[in-house]
Amino acid sequence: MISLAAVWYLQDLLQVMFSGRFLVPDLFFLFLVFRLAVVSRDVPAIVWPAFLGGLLWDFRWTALPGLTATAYAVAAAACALIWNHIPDSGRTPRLFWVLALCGHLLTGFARFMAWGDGRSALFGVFAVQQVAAVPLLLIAVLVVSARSAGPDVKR
Amino acid sequence: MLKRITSAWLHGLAATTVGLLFLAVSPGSPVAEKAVEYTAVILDWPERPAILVRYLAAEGVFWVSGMRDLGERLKEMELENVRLRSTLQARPDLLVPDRSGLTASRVDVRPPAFWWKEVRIDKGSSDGVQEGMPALQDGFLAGRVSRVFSNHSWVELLTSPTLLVPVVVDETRDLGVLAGDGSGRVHVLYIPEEKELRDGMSLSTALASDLLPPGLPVGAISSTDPRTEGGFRVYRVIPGADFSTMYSLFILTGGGPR
Repeated sequence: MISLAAVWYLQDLLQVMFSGRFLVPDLFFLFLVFRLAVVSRDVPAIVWPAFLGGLLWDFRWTALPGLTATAYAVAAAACALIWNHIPDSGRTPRLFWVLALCGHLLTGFARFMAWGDGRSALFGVFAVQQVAAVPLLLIAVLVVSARSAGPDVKR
Repeated sequence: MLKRITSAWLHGLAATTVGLLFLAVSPGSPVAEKAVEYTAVILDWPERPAILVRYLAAEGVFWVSGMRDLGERLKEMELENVRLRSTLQARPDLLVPDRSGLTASRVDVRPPAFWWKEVRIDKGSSDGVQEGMPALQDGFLAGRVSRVFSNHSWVELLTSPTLLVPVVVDETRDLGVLAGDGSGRVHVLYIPEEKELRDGMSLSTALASDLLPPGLPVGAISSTDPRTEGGFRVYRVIPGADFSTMYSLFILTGGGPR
């Protein structure tokens, strides 16, 4: 729980630093998916923190309480369902990459749709946020890959 | 396995439902506004390091890249100052009263959903901010304070379709009303059809209230594509404030130009 709070705080600090320039990637959400892959497959331990983290993000940044919370919860639940449904042999770093990327795209897209008339002007903001998540995801994939190669991997 | 999948569905659906309920009831809810307000207050101190880093980075970039621009701007302003001094000698009635005061504020929230409507600033009633006070950027009107809390306020931007500001065309003294379209554009309404305004004519505020003094620069007329509505021309306005680089605002907490 402390690590989740720390990642949320890191995302918040980065957003403060880059506020008005671009939207930071959803580090908190990516970290949740990362936890799903390497720490715990417990669905409530993924979905409800996702919801609470999203709600807190809404209170701080979007002023539309429920928007990010719903997006995070839906994406996290979908990732958890798919990850848990796949047999052990299929839970590869590649699957993690696809899930995290699609989940991140989904949360970003939900926010993008909420921008209303400003969508066309702010498409660049959405695109930069998604592109900025790619290097982070690559690092996460490397970690997942290293973990899955180790003897203590949780499947 | 089936039980686990069912449980996952249930938790996912429950969280989604609660989230959608929040989304349905929160817009315009005073409870949600209070929650947003308190979250900002609680996070004010923890976020200070990021604000400091941002400030230092901005200062660094400014020093590295902005010195030449600053020198040129300084020369222009010195020339303008000389011109204004001579104008004031001829027109002492234009002197700004001593009680005029500008309160510097930082834009700390700009909800993407209301990008062209409003921003939140980190100054509130405890700093002397009141509803209706003008917000300026680079000396140009950018909006008006719409809601005030103790440590934060919301500023409605000129691009908002619900903010109407009476303005005057400086060159012709024609009066009109400034209104945004909610998509980043600003227009001046109610200019009689027979009046033809030229590109670049400047606009400033007309007398509206004690809190919005006349004479605040607003922007310039853009004569491109003026349309006619009900016997009046609607001109596009190029605001002096830059809404895409709005990181800070000055609130006119005292008097202004007369």
